[in-house]
Amino acid sequence: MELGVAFAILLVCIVVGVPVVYSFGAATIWLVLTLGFDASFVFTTVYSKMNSSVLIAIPLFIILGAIMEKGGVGSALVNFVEAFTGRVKGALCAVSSVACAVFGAICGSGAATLSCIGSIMAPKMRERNYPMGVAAAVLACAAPIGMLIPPSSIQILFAWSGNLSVLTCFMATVIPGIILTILIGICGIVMCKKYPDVMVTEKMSRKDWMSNTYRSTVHAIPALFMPIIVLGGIYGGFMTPSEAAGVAIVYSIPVSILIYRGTKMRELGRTFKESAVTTGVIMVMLGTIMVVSRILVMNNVPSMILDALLTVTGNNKYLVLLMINIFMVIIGMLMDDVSGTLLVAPILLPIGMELGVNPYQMAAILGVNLGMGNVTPPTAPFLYLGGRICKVDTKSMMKPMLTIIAFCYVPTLILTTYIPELSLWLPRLIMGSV
Amino acid sequence: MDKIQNNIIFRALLKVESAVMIITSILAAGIVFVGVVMRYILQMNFFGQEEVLCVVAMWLYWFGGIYGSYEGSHIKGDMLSSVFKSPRSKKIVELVIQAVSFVVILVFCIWGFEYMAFNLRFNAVTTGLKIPMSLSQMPLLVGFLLMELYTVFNFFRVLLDKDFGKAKEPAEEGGSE
Amino acid sequence: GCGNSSGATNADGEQTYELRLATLYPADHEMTIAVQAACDKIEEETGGNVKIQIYPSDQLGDYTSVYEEIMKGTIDLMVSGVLTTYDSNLEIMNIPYLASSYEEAKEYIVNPDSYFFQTVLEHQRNLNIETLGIYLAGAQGVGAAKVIDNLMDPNAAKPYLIRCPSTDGYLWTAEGFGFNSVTINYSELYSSLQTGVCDGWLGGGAYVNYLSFRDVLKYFGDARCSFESIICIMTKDLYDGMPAEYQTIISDTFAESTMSFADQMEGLDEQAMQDMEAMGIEIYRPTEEEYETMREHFRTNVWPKYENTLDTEIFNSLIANGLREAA
Ligand code: NA
Ligand code: NA
Repeated sequence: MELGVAFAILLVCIVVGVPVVYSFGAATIWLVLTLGFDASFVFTTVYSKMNSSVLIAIPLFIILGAIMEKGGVGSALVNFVEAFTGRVKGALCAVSSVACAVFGAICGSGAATLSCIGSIMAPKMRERNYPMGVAAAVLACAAPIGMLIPPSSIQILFAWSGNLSVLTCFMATVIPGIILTILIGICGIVMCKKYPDVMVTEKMSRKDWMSNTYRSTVHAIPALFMPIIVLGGIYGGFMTPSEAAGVAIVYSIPVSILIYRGTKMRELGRTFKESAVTTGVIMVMLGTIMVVSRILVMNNVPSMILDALLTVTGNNKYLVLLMINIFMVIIGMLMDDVSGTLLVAPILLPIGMELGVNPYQMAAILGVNLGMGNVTPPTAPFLYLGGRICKVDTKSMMKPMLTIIAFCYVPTLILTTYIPELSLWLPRLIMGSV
Repeated sequence: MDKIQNNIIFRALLKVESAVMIITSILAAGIVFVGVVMRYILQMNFFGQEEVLCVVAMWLYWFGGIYGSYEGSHIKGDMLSSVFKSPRSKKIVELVIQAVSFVVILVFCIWGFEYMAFNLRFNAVTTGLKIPMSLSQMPLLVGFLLMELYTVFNFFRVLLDKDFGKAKEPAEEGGSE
Repeated sequence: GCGNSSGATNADGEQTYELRLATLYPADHEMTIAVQAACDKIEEETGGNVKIQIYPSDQLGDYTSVYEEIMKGTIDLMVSGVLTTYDSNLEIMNIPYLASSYEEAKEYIVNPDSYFFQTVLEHQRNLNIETLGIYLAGAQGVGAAKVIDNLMDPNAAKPYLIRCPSTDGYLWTAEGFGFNSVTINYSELYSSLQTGVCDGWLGGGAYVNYLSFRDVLKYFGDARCSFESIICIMTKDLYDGMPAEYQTIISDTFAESTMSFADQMEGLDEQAMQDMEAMGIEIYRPTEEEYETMREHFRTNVWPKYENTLDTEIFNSLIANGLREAA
């Protein structure tokens, strides 16, 4: 009963637009008062959850993403990707999708991926008469790929809340991410087919093409060195994820200022400040969500949910997985990926383990699912951000967005859920046993 | 409201907050970087790195959160913006949001005081470098106190703004980012 | 629903308790099973009036926050590592070579009448904590992804990068062996061993090495530098408010449980070493003489470092006889 009311408070607060941090705070206050807890555990929990050497990677990857975004690294990467695409109608949709994946190999944040790649691609697509609703939808839907390709702050959070290896979680989402990249690229091209005005890239002579590709590649080398530092550093056994982020930040500052000239020394302060706010709102929110999650655990809610699920589905693993996915889709509609991850990880991980689902496969299912949550209304931060960047009404994005969900996200989700190898093969290859 | 916003103390506070955020960000990246340099170039272990990072991180997180309160950039569900269209109803919803936030933060401030009071009694220190625990615990309380300050500020800013909810929302009118 | 940790009264006018016990170990771990058995026995002997529910796998938070919550009484019992931030004398739990066999560890550490146990008990009482028992979680050795040469020779150069937790105790232990130490988060230890960020680690017994790291190990040295000590504690206010009869039942049950678990753990460590050997992992079993040499080396080189950590009386006892005086 008390829990039901707490859930209602949470839901009403979130729907009205109370910041998630205070919505969970309100639920905490209600639970503490009605369940007779001594409130002194609240701050102890908040402090100890935040005090984690794993979490420090998050602000560092956010800073890194911001420097890359402001520093003009994005356009070097976009030009590099574009140099390799053919003369197909709608090719820029595929470029957007692949560019999000490439940028994602450096940056740990989906929002930074979207605002960086989006603000470069949108003018290009407008210039060539792309239907901007489709363009905005492709960009918004491709941005979560940046989170599926490591590094990823969502996977860091998931690993942290389940006490799993960050490195292995990173690996689990790579193949689903690549599948999604390909599907969104194809889907974008197909959607553009019916628009006669869309212009194709100018035909180049073989020689021009060669020199253009050469120039773009050379220009992109300092940027492409970043994923080598980050991923090579991590998987080569030289650095932990946060160390890799720290080293990459130190590398990215001269690259952004001196090579790509996208930012200036004195603008760095503002970049740091903006990143700190992004980090701060995530971390403070994390604090109150973890308190509620702790109260749920104390009251055995995860095992109650599991029992209910098993009863309803008659102990069928595949049906339970289906229900888990539906549950996550609902959470994804209500929340952004960060709050969603924090909320569902402590509840779903034990359930998955009980069913014999590998926790790293859960990481992949959750990654794809909550990535999709970023574009599913009503709470769809990427949808709104994409619309703003492309200067289009979100209404015109709806149909292409739903098409991408139906033909790209849902298939990827089904594959990830029912083929464990999809998420576990790469971790096994690189990390040994998982 | 302009009077408050232009007040020297109000502006100085924002400057201090910005400075804390910038300095802690640089320190966080720097400490991690130095750890790598020490390990590979100087062949040394950075003893107590986690403990120093914890202090830096806590100030970074909470001052980011504080500034988020000032800017109104805390993550929200935001599902009613399309339901309520009239400026009047928008204003009322916003005031309710700020009021609910105010009450929640107030309770957390009280709990925060009790928390600090408990911890200060013991003079607890970290295991490695013997850094006082209160140094990393303090930002929690400071965070909620200043978040409350900005919530009050935002409440009155909305209340006194006669044009609230009118001719804004650049997203719907195709404004620029 | 919510427990009544403050104690309620049942129909017969007896005090009843529903308590929460937090542990770092997963539900199927041997220690959790032993603790569960002790809790069942307590429930039975108190006629069902003291019920203890176990929350495994750090579900209620890691030891740093749970320890604080035991002090505050928001969690009732805990079976986890000790937190030394509130009283540095509790660092005695991490001093190397206080014992070099399970027999010694049982007599000088687990035994509730020992000087060691009484010191822990006394100091935790100042933090509103009642000490119910000390579980041994293994004889700590060195697990490594490469073969360690001359592990038990204190004077041999050991150019290996060894991971240890960032507390003075472990750091000094690593130094005592002659290792280069590095602090890495435990959750990243497996991948660090695998990718080579570190060569080995210190702080776990054979059983832990077998359970969690057997796939990346090439070597395990049974150095027995310390017996990993897991404390079983309860909020003191709560304990003091209980009827004397319940107090006796709880304390005796855990004392018995910790003693018999020490024997069980010795068997688990031994079995783990045999299993690892069968997998092709090199197992190094030092001789009695080597343990004695190492202990002597630590007594002269490492124990004196605890001067600023411990109260004078405890420090003197450490130097004089390794905390083995009659309580
Ligand atoms: Na990424
Ligand atoms: Na959503």
